[in-house]
Amino acid sequence: MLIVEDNAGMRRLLRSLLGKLTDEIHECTTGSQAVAAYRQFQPDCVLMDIEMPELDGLAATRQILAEFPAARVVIVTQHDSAKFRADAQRAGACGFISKENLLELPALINSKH
Amino acid sequence: MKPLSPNCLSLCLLFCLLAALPAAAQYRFDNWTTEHGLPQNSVEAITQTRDGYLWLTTLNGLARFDGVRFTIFANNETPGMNSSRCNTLCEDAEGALWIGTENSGVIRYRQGVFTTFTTQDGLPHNLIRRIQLSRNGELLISTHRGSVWWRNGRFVPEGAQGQSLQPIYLSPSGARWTLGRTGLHEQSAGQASEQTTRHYPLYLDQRDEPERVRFYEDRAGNLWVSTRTGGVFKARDGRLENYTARIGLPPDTLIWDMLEDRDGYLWFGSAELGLFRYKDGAPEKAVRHTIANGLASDSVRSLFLDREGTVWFGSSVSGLNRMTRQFISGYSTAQGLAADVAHGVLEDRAGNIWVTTHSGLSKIAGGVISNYRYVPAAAPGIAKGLPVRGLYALHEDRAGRLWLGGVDGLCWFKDGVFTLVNRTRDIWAIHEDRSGNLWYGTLEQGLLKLRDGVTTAYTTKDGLPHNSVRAIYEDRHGALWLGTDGGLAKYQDGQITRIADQGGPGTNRVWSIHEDAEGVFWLGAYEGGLFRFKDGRFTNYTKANGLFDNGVFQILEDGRGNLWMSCFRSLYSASKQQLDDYAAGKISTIISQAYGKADGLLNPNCNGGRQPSGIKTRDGRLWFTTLKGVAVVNPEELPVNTLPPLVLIEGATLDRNAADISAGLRVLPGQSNLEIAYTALSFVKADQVRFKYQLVGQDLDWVEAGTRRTANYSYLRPGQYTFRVVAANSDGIWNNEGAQLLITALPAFYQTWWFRLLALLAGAGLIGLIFKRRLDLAYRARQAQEEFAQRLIESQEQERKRIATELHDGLGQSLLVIKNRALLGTATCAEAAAQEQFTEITETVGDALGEVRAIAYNLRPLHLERLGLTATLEEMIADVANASGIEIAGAIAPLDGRFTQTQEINLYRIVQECLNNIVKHSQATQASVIVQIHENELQIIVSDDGRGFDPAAIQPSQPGRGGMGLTGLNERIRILGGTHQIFSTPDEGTQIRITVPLAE
Repeated sequence: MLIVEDNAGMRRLLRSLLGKLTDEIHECTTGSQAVAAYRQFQPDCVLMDIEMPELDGLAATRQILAEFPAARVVIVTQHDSAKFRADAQRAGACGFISKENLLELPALINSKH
Repeated sequence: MKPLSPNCLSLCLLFCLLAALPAAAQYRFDNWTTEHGLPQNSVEAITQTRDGYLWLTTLNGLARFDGVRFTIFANNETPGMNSSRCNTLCEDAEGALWIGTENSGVIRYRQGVFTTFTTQDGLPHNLIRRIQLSRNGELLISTHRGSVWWRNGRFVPEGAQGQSLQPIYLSPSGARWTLGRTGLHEQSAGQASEQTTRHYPLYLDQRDEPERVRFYEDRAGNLWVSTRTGGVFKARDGRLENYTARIGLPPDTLIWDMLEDRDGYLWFGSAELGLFRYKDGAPEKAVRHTIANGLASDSVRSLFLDREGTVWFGSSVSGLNRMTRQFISGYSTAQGLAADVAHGVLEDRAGNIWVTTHSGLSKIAGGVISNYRYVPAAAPGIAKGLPVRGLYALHEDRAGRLWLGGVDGLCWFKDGVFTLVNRTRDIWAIHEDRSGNLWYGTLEQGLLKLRDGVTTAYTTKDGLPHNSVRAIYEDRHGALWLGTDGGLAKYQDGQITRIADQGGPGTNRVWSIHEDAEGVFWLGAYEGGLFRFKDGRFTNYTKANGLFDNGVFQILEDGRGNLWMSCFRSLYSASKQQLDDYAAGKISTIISQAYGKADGLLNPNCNGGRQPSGIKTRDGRLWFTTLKGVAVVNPEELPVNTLPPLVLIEGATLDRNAADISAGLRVLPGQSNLEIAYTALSFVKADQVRFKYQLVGQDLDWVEAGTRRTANYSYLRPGQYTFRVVAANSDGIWNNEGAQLLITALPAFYQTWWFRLLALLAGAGLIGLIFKRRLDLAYRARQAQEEFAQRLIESQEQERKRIATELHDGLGQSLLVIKNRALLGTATCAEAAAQEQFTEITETVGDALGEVRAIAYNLRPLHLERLGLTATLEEMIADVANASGIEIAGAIAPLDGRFTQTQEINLYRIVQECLNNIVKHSQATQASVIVQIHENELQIIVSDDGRGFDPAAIQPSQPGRGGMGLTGLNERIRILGGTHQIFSTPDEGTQIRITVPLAE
């Protein structure tokens, strides 16, 4: 699993939510790091934030999917709007979840397996 | 003692008889030569042009004369004049002056331009003899080789046979006279068919030079011809008479010119023998005037009669001469008077004139003077001769005795016998009153009365003002008026009373008392002027109010209403009318005319203080005693020049340089010291012509210039002036028309209207510049302010963005983490109390999160970057509609990518502020936001159906909470370069239209 998130508290929260699903969790804080980390680890799933320094989440998603069409990217964002959902879908993300309530994240990931 | 018979006594008389004589010369001759400015002393011809100038030709140039000054035209300095050897003159019908020369043909002077015509122009010869104007206005020029007419600008030969060498004379009456070897011919005036020719048996001799023949037609129509050999002839109606002997001309007298004067005298000017004055028809021969009678020379070349009747003659050696008929003659020792210093004069009943002098008594009877000289006498009684030395006073009593008073006695004379009365000294005046008392005034003994051999003296003790009694006059009431050296007194009824009224002679020496026909008393004072006494009121005339002199020795009245007075300087007259007008206050000054040598006065120094020192004889003549005998004035002959003088402005100078005045005078900026030369063309006492001038535009009144012939102005302000000058001839006849000169003083450039306008414009421009600079400064300040406002807004936006981002991404994320942890706690913790707490935390954090987001969003619509302007606006409209309950329709054109971030945030804020206003103020239920692109501009139209407002009444509001107010709105529109309009009416809603230009 790859967590792409610039907020440390949020990364810890995500890691604790994912702990039951996998042993191997990598973290990075920017979009470009995410692309590099994906090439290195080729995780099953990427949890991608949108608002990050350098490359934002949607762009990073498009790059990853361009190199690895089978990659599974779930957008984790605090902006929950139809436009963002549509944008995420167009970027190739397989899932979209609002940070308002992340308890359903494991279920979402599982559903995308 | 046996009385001597008159015959015997007459032997004792010392007298001499002299030939009949008209006192002194009747003409005065004035003379101008090179010393006075003539170019040369041979004046060949004289004429007067219609402008009044006298022109003279000399062998050294042409001269123009105004009576005072000569202006010379000579070939070396006058363009167009080829010779200065001028001989003859004629003014043509157009007013051009033609001048004949000896060697260079004719010169025409027309409108200031000289032109010379010679043989090259068709003249037969360059030696001109005579130029004449025919009665029909044609010019005939006679040269040494024949005569030509000047016709239509060409010279046309005169006469059918070509050039005629005979002298031709065109008479004023229109006849044409020629004299040659075939005789004297007269061709009468008129058409050729009617012309008659008369022949006179006068033939030009071999020895006669044609150029020496002279013709003259007098006013009676007689033709006078003079030739060298034959003398002077008169031709009339076919009759020819030789007048040489009748006139009294010596044989072979060469007559150069002839003239008839206004008095009908013919004047013959001879080359060597002076002037002959002859009256045609009179039995007397001509009176000859020579150097002996005052002529400057006996050589007469030309004669001329001017418009005022003055006779001029040019001499071949003594220049220009003027004859003045004199109306004053006199008797002096030259005519046989006993002495030149005359004291008293009297006319007896027989018409004899008696003159007292310091060395005897003179009697003038029928032009014969007989003198009685002092013969010592021992005692009173009949004397052997004049018993008194040095005679002063005279008086003829009713018995016909001639009383004489002098230095050392009183005597009387009758029938050739003198009788000494007494030895009273220094007797000034004698008078026999109507009662038969003989009164006489003395130098020191006062007034004496002689009656029946008894003498009574009246002195200052008796009330006499002074013991020197100069004049005794008995008025019509029998009172005696006494003029003394201490004032005026009156003797009446045995009493002497001093007359010392206000304004009277006071203590003046009263030397003359005259009562006129109206009973007005005129008193003459030695140095206090003239006094008029009427109805108890005195009027005093002195030099201060126009009297010629303050000395009034003797007052006489002529038959023309003038008073004549004598003084040390002259004889002078004043009009009684003027004196009366002055006394009545009608005029402020009087004019008195003075007469001198020019009028025939041998010596202008008159005597007075002896009674009578002047008399009016029965023939109307006035006699005055002078230091040179007695002067006799014939007022009837007093020439009065009633012709006003012609006035001319001759020239002007500016800073001493001659200026052109032909078309008015222009004074350029910087030119000053204007001198205008003017003149008056009166040749009768030209030096007494008086002028007044006025520079209209500067002088408020006429300037009395006296006899001065220039006017000076040191500086003229720019403007238009008219210089006017008027003149009066010597008899006070004014030419009020005068002459005038238009003067334009041009302004310097700094005085012109255009310069002033320019200066005004420059001033206005300067003010404009200052104003513009202030505007620029204000504009710049405003621009700086606007830039500052813009930067302020930008930095504000950046700061907001930073805070919003941190709130949203920092604090917001942390709150999200907390919320999720709390949710996780709720889900994983079985303990109910703990679960309750987790739930509480979740809700609170959710609220906090909402607030943070709201704050961040208000600070910065982060959506702009994430969603784009269009979507952000749409979302905002939807949010506002939801929040406010107002139905808001949005129509937003696709805008993304057209604007910079700054522009987007400004557009966003603009729409946001519009919606804020609707929510806060409008109470609307419906609203709409239209954002559209139209051509090259973005239009934002925000409308509502609210209560509206009066746009003019609103004050730019301060940014309120959550809003930025109208000021902020305006500022953002301005930053975008846009404009806005607000349409609003109370209760009818509001529409704001904002237009922002789009970049290409």
